Amino acid sequence: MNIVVCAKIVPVSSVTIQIDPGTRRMIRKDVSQELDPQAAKAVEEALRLAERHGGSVTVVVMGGEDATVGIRSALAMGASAAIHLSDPALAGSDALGTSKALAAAIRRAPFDLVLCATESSDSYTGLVPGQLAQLLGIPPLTFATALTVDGNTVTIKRQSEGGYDTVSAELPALVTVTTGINEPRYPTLKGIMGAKKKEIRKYTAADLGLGPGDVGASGAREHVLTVGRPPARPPGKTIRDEGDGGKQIADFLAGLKLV
Amino acid sequence: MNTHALDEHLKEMVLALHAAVNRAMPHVNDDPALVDQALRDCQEILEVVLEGNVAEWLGDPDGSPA
Repeated sequence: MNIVVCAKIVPVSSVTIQIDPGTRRMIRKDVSQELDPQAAKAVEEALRLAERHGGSVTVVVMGGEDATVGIRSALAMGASAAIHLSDPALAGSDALGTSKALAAAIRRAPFDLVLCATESSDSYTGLVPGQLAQLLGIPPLTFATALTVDGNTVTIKRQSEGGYDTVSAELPALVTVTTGINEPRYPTLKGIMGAKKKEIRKYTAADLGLGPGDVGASGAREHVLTVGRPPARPPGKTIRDEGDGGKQIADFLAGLKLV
Repeated sequence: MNTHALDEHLKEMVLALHAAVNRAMPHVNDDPALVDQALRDCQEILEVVLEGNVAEWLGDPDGSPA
């Protein structure tokens, strides 16, 4: 089974994300990057499937040159190969441009299953997986909390408000995984050293047959109009227990019609 | 000396240490075997870093030093 994982490389979690007020885009230059923890879960799920059923795991990443460290993390976890879409012409792509580039790269080799995080942990749009499935002409199975493959059928437990739905589709298909699906393995020393021998194929927009009307800032049809901080939350109510704390809490909750 | 490649390699090491600690910390009370394994993996990485054999770290895939 040939599994493709679409991964994003994001600023490390200890960094406070800054927004460029001019472009209203996240400042990524000179910011330490890592494999998105959400994408690591998709990589982990792909590795488990490959261990169970055989096959390969290829990680596809769109990002600048500084994405290499994150790509190597995925390879050190055990992915077989990586594709790096790196080209100044791709910078500034919106979600659809990103999906077009990923789809063009994925189409270059046979695949059975595409795995994505439900959304990235830096921009949280969650738009790419659906667009990608549409462009690839395959069914999207979303919000998977568990995933199995049996023969030519992929089945997921799809997270819902009241529990989960069981959903299946014929391969090839695309599945988005949720945060709770697994705990990803971490790269070991052996994995890190082994990753140096693994292939990272690099493609430009031109290699993928994409022009300025498809990708990059010029191809973007989605524009960020404003970026602002959320309004400050009102202070909470402090209840001091002087013998009637329980009653005060009950009265407070009753006032909110919660009890 | 290719300092960029060395920086990248050391970043990989730090990220691996960070990932190992993140994986183990939630299981300190319920999975001592997992925690012990993570500690051993961290120790292995740190020992190699302290050895400082940069040529080996940055060696070509065929084993020759960079």
